[in-house]
Amino acid sequence: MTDGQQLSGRQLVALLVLMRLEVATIILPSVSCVDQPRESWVAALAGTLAAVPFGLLVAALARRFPGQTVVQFGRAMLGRLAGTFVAFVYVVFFFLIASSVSREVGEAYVASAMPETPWFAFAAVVLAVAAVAAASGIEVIGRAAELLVVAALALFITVLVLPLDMMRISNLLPVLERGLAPALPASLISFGLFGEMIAGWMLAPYLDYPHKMGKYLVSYVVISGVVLIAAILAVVAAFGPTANSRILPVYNLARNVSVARFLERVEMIPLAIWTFAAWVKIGLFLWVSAAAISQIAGLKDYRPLVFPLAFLAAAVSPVLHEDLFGLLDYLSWDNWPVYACTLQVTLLAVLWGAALLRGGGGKAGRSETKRAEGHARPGRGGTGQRPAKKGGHTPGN
Amino acid sequence: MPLARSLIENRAALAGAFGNSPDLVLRDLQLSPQGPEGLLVCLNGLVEASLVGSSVIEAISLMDQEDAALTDPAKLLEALRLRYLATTEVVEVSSMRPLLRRLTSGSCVLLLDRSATGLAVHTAGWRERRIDDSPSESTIRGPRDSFIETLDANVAMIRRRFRHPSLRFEPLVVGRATQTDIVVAHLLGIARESIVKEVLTRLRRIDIDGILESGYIEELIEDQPLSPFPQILRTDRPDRVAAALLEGRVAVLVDGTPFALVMPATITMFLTSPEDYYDRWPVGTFLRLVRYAAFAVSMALPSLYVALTTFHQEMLPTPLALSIAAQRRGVPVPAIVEAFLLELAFELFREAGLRLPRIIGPAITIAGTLVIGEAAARAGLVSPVMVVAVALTGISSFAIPVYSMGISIRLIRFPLLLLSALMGLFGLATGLSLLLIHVCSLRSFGVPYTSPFSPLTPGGVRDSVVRAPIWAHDRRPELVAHAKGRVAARQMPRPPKGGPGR
Repeated sequence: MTDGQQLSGRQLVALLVLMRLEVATIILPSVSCVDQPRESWVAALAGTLAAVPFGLLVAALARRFPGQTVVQFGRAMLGRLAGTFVAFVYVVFFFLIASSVSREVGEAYVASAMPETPWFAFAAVVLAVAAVAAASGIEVIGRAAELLVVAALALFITVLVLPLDMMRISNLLPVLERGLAPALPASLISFGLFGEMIAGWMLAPYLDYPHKMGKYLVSYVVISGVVLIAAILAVVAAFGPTANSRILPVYNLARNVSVARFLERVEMIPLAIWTFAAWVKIGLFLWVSAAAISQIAGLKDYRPLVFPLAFLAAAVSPVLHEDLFGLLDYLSWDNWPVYACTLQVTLLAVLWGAALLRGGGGKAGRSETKRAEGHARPGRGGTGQRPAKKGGHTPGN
Repeated sequence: MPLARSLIENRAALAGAFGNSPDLVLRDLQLSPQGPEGLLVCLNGLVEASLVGSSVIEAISLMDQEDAALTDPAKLLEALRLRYLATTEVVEVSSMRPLLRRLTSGSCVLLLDRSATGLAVHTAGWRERRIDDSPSESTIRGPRDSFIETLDANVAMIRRRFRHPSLRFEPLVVGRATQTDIVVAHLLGIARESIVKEVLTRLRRIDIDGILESGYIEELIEDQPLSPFPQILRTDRPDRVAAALLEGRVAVLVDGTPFALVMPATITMFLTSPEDYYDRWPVGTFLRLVRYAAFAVSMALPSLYVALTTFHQEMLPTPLALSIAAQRRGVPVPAIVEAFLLELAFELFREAGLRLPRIIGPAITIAGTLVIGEAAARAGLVSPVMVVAVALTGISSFAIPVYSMGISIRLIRFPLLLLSALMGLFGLATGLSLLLIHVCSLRSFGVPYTSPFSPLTPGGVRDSVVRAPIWAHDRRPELVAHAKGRVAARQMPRPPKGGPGR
């Protein structure tokens, strides 16, 4: 089923970090979608902290049947009918993310660099690139992500550091003047975005060490959490109380860079990051939706589904949101947490409950871990033909 | 077809096989007064005439009384083979096909009447090019030899670098008409057996009339034939091949080609020069960084310029934007056309300079610099900034040490240019994304093209953008070879402890 493709843990983390970085670079909803930007870093911190147990729970469930996806798990636990229903809900969730991200990129380009082009042009092209990536296989997306994530993180941090002269610590003070309680609800925004990591469960069969899923998910949450909080701090310190009125905060931050009257206007950097991160994210979710559908329907190959799904995503994207402000509204407190968190938490709770009641996995699961490991190791990085190690005897000894 | 016992029949068969070709030499020999008649066959120009004279004909005439008295051709051949023929290799041949093959490889064959076996004596010697400095990959520090067109000499150049017998050469013959000799070299115990086997399998699958250059082989065995990127490294430096063998890679040498093929190749290898390892490591690392920058510049600089000046003028620092705008005033064409014109002109001059007889070369250079650099800009056809950008791009592509990669990148530049003219930075990003997806899906003999960056391998990264010091370079590329034990531990030199106070 995995047609010989493999994903290393690092590649999984890279994929997820880029997925999270995409939203943070474009909209940074933790700042732009809240009333009180000064508190938003606390909210993001809380969201990050809450995402850690969520990730561990996902990993624990995934470890019951190592090498199985959330779709297969749901069917095994809930039975055919209910399992298919849960799987279908996930497919819709994943697919809508792909569609929504394409809209996000299109709107972001129109709002930033190319105001005269219709947003749909960008969305369609990004979807096409993502579909090509998804059709090339998860291994290709994984490798691309592994290459991109280093550059993306380095550039992202550069953008946050360069406008140091604009930042005022006083903009961040006082800390929590209203107390902790009013700040916390906003944490659900970032928690909901972190929750998209459930897509990682769909990749479980491809991992070289499936039983380390927990480690991977936690490192994803920690890395993106640190970057996210750094971004929030930088944006709020630079723009002060009006930070939430900036539509594209990181882009705006980059626009204001001026170092030595030469290094100016580095908005090319966030543009590059969000374009690359966007197709990686859309590619990932197109792939995940296609793979999930093919598992529900029992298809041998997910590939024929990728391009129809991409077309569908393009068709759906104009309907999803009114405009950029609709998008902001969608990601704000009123909508996104209600939708995403409910869905993620409820579905996971259902799966967890079923797993508790059924008590499946256990020893069988553990022995399967070993099998999966033994199978996975030789082909790591996909030479697919690595023979067993035979102590490297060197010439000249 | 076995040889006949009659010399006359064999002679007719040989003459017939070559169609009475003028370069076929059939020389009658009477070995001894009462012995059988003999025939010495060779192809003129493929054998060293003096060697045939001294080691075969003269050697036969020096037979002692007892041997010269032999009348049984089999015994006579045995005696000749063991005692008289004075060359390194003497082989018995008893059928036509190997006999012809020996002849065309430069042996001369001795046939006797009443005997269905002959002796093939290795006397090959044709005009060879002198072993010279590498013309396509020159270095300041490093060995000064490079491959030539003769397979034996090339094999010897590699063998000379390995005294340990674990260096293995697997011979193959490819090509129906050319029957080209091919040798697959690898280090036993270091190269992965599966990769060696895969190389051999792919080579054996080839069925073609002729192989005239290693490029034929390259195109017939690469993983992704439709990709613009080279997936097999070709080099004319024996030291580079030796280094690759030490990393566990496999080299293919083709007779008649001064280039060896090295596989599996990953993208970092194309940005590597042997000199990186000969100079000290900070220098090597710096040069690598320069080359990676050159790689990026030669791929994307003109596109970036077009995207910025056409779509995103606001992103340039204001003084720079003003200066570019001032220079572009009066240029009658949009930036993209300007870029295409200049790029095409550059390619024209490069190609013309390459193909022309060497004596006329400077004329082209003068015309190129005058016409492009000065006149075009002064006539207002192109802006000077664009000239700078295109020239920088061209120079950068020459800084890529492997020619085949440099030229691939030049090809990729044009679609990127078009995309950025259509959609600005977004177009450029789209083009680069598609390129990245393509590169990530490439493999060379099962090894991902993007390794050691992705999948990240600790041994490989030490020899990628950075060149780790030799004593820290203790692992081979993991996906290619059995990794460990390259350099023994704790080799970093340190000052001696507790010496007399200085």
